[in-house]
Amino acid sequence: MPSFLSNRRLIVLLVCIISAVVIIGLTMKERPYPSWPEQFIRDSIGFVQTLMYKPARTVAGFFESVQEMRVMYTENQRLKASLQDHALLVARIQELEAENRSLRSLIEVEESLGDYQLRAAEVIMRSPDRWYQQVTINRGSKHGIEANMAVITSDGLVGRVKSVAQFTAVVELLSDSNREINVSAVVQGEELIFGTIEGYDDDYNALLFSKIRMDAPLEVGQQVITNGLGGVFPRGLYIGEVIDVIPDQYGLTQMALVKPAADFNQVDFVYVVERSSLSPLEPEEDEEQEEGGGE
Amino acid sequence: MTHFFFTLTMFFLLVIEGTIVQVFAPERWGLTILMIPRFVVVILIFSALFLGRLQGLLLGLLFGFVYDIIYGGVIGIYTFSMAIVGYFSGLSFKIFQQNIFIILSTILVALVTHEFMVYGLLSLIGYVQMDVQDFFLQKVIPTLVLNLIFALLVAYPVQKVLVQMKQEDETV
Repeated sequence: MPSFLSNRRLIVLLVCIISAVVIIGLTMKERPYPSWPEQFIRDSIGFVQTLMYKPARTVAGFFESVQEMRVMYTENQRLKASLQDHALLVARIQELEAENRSLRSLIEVEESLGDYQLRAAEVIMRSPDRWYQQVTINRGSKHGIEANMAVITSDGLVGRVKSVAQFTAVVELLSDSNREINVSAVVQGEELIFGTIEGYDDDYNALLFSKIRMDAPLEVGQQVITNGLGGVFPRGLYIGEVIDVIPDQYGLTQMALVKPAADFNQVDFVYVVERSSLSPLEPEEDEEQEEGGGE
Repeated sequence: MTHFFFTLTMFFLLVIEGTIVQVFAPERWGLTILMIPRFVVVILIFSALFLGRLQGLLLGLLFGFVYDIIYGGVIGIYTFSMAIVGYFSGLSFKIFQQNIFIILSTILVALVTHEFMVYGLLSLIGYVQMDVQDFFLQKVIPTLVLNLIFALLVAYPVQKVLVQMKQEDETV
């Protein structure tokens, strides 16, 4: 025993390993509001990152637009065709919205699950190792960002706010394999089909939309939006399109592969979604039931 | 003074890893391979080789900690891995002569160790589920290529600066 204790290096090594394990254990759970030294380091490095990311993106943007020039003609034709549909659609939406408002006022409901405000933000860095699929944005708690808010791009849902510092916030993308919060979503069609988005499949590059009833009439090409019942994300954020339907592991429910509308590799400008319909009087049980339900 | 500027340069490399390199990452152009920039680790190994294992350990702890805070979420993964890599690459500096091949092969071994240690620790706590084979082909090999090219590019100036730092240490 004395020979073991006299080996100072071994003791130091053991103490180091033990303390590393302790620190990892303490910090591995979700921490939406990290301690102030962490916030300070993140914010001050975030400032330097902002200075570097913008010029770099400008240069990269130039090369990308040169690349895009080749496909511009065909794209232009396709867009012209879809623009006509778009005009029809806008007219129809306006009509429906007016109708919706009048019906709402009849039953005296002012808020809906789909009410939200957008806050624009810019991505200032991305984790270089792709183990953590997360980006940092240049808005933080001083700008009203809170943990668990949904984050979208102009294409669709990309993730949620994972942790907030004073002037920056970390956004966890939907492609992260460690998502503690699953998104409750709904497929639009003749009949609404409910389920949850839980995880990302790297082989198909698609989101796994699971816990769907076995007899639900799922079809390839149907569109998936957020549900709004989860209490955190508002209703109606576009997620993507169903590309394949498979039975789940145990054959009790169905699972759909959803191709996300947003490109997770090119996240540059995002909007943070603040849900406005959530009144403080709403019972908290609902939230836990829906959002904490997934493991 | 040289120490200060050296550390400052490493900080800039750390920031560049997450910003400028990400703008030009291969995935943005639709490729499936992942090139992870490990510039800080490369410089860390250089300084451990020239200034000794204690220097490697301390720099590894410092930069691993900052890396964990700004790019990760779990504190301790990179701190542990980079400290170990710094310390053990410092051990080899007494055994071998310093020529460019020894340095590059030390960097190669240390980078592979680093990647596998981070992968192992993150799988251990359940953060990642990835095949070892996929991991090796898609992540490790492209990462090695990128970082060895970087090491070759900076080898000459970094060696000069480090030799100067070593002389400063001896005169003080």
